[in-house]
Amino acid sequence: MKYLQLTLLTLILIGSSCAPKPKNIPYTRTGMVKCVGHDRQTITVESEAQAGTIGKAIAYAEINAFENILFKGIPNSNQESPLVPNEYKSTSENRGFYTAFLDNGGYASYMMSTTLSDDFESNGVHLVTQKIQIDLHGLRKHLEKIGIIKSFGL
Amino acid sequence: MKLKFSLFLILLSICFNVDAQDDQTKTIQPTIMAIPFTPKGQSLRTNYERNELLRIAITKVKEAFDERGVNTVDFRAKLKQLNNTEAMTEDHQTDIKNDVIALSGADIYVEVEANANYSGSGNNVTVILTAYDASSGESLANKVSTSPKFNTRNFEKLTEKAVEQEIDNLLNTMQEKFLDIVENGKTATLTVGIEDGVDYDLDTEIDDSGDLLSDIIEDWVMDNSFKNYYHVQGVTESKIIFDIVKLPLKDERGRNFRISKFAAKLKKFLQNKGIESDRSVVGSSIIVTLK
Repeated sequence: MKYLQLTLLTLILIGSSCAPKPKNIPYTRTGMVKCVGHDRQTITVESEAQAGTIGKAIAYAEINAFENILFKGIPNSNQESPLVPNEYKSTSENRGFYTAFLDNGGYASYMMSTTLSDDFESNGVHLVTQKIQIDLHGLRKHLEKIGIIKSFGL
Repeated sequence: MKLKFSLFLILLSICFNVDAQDDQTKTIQPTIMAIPFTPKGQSLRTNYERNELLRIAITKVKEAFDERGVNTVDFRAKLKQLNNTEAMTEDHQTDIKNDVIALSGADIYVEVEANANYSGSGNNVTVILTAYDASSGESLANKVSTSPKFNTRNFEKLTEKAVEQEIDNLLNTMQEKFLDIVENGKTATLTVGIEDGVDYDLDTEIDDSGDLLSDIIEDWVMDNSFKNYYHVQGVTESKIIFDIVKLPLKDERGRNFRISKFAAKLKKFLQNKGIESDRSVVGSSIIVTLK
């Protein structure tokens, strides 16, 4: 009996160590963010991203959405111009802010809703489409308040 | 010795305080007014008062500026200030728009047009928004927005939707132009003309350099414009028109740059060349008359 238990335990350990580990896919910004709706103060986008786990892919999609709004603008939306006019200058001068806001999840404060629209998995890679509604007005006000962007005017 | 040192420290602190105040000088912001588009021959007041869609569109535009923390000049209030009595003829009414703009002192105006569209598949509203610099006529932003089609006669709601679709993009485009102004200077216009009866003109050589007066003036503008950026619209023997002269937002001490100072500097330069002149400044337009 003891021998049987030991064998079973060994087999379980071997089995779990042979299970495929999630692929470590780093975050890369893409342009795969499109506007699916907006009103005066919010914008709703669908953002695509891929990662080794679904959780990471969702996080990457959210970061991708915010980076596109901040640094690139979203075509056919109420934010066609980037919120931050000069990405290079701003990220150089405000490293701490961007680390906290993008890398450490500070953007969540301006995410009104985030929903998984689609998940395609192949060879251990999850490609997700995340639908995110963002409080654009609040985000702009916050960036103006802390001096990341100028208020309207000269 | 102690007293001298204390006096020195006091003087030093005053100097730093003055410099700090200069650094804190707030940039003068442009004033903005939303006005209705009025075709030639129509009454501005009548068009505004009878066109509810236009009033809604203008109000939504002003609301968007309010949300960005910008106070706008109220068009209706300025209209009331004008002496627009019933005795005014139709001929005069076409000048009201220019009078309102001039009286308002607004630096930028946003012209708003709203039109209802009817079709078998639904109705919608098209809004045209155009932002101009009042003095130079430079276009700052232009947007056309059409609301979605609905089987409704609630054109007021459609007008709101049309404005809401593009107003943020209009403001964002204006902000890009403002950033360009901060970087490359604000635009002024300069007209230098010769007074009637004067015995010289702009083709006269007034000094030993052999250069014509118009060339000397142009060289001065080039040297004194921000980043040497200017554009000559045209030169005749009696007038030279610079339709673009870039001026900095701040002077060398960090204070708001005054256009009147630029005009005064030109007047002094001309005086040194033996030429008297009058100058007038309206908004960002400078007119210098050589006597």
